[in-house]
Amino acid sequence: MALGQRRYQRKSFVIPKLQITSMMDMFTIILIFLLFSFSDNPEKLHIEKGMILPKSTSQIDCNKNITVSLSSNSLKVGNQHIADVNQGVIQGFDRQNPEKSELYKHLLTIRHNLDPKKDQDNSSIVIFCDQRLPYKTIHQVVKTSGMAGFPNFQFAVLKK
Amino acid sequence: MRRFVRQRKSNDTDTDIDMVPIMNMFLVLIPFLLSSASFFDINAIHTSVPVKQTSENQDDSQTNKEATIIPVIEMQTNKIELYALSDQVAANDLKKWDMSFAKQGDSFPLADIQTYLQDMKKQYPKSETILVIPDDDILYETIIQTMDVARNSTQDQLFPNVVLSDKI
Repeated sequence: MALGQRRYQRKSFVIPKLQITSMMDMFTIILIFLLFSFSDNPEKLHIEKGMILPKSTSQIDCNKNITVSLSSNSLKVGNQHIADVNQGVIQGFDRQNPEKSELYKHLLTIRHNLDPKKDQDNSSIVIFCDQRLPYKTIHQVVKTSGMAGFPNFQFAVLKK
Repeated sequence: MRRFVRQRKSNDTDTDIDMVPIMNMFLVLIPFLLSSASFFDINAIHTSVPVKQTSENQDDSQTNKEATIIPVIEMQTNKIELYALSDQVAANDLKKWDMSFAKQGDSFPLADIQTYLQDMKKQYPKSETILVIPDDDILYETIIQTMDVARNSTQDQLFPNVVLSDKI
């Protein structure tokens, strides 16, 4: 009797369908989130590890022409390492003679290589700078950039 | 009656919507959107450093009939000094813009500074440039916050051209 019942039960067993409704819900949420953060011009900017950019109300897009990255431990132009930074002091940088610095020489080379007709509008430097650095460190970079022929620059910030 | 119940039972079979094509579409869309998503929205603040001005450029500013003024924000470790520079406004009129705001706790009273700049902008609407002179120890984050206050108020634009400078 019991055996017969078990046989009957096995026959009536229906393979359960995979419930994809919850997965659909999850995908829909992800899709909406990604659609909101969609950008037709994704930033290909490399931000130094550990660097914290300040937040600002600025709405102007970042022009990715020449980038100077000033973090708490290094100074870079583009991807090229220029100098080490130690406790807010750029190593090998003489404040009295910025013309002798590696940064000045490097920026001057870039300036000479720019086409004056083509790059007139794009000849500003984008400075990526850690928000914890004091002005004395930034000032050295800003002043040297001005002397090398880049008086206009942009401070890269995160949107508030 | 029985026939009706039997007929109803036979029509009650669940009709599931085939979700598989939608799932396939989602699986294609999500990697595409992930690759083009920007999680960091990087913007920029346009700034400049003072440059030597030629005599021709100076003539342009003198022909402008409406007086312009250059507010100066001098950021010191414990206070912010505010004053104005202009070669088109009398010294006595400029003197009334001299003001000082002491640091309140860890931050500067940026709301008060904004009110001061709004008043200045109302009086000299043609003015576009502001000079920011931070001390060596002022943090970059504080400079950016001050620049934000100097460029825009909640209602309108104040001084969009921010110039970073050394002490004059």
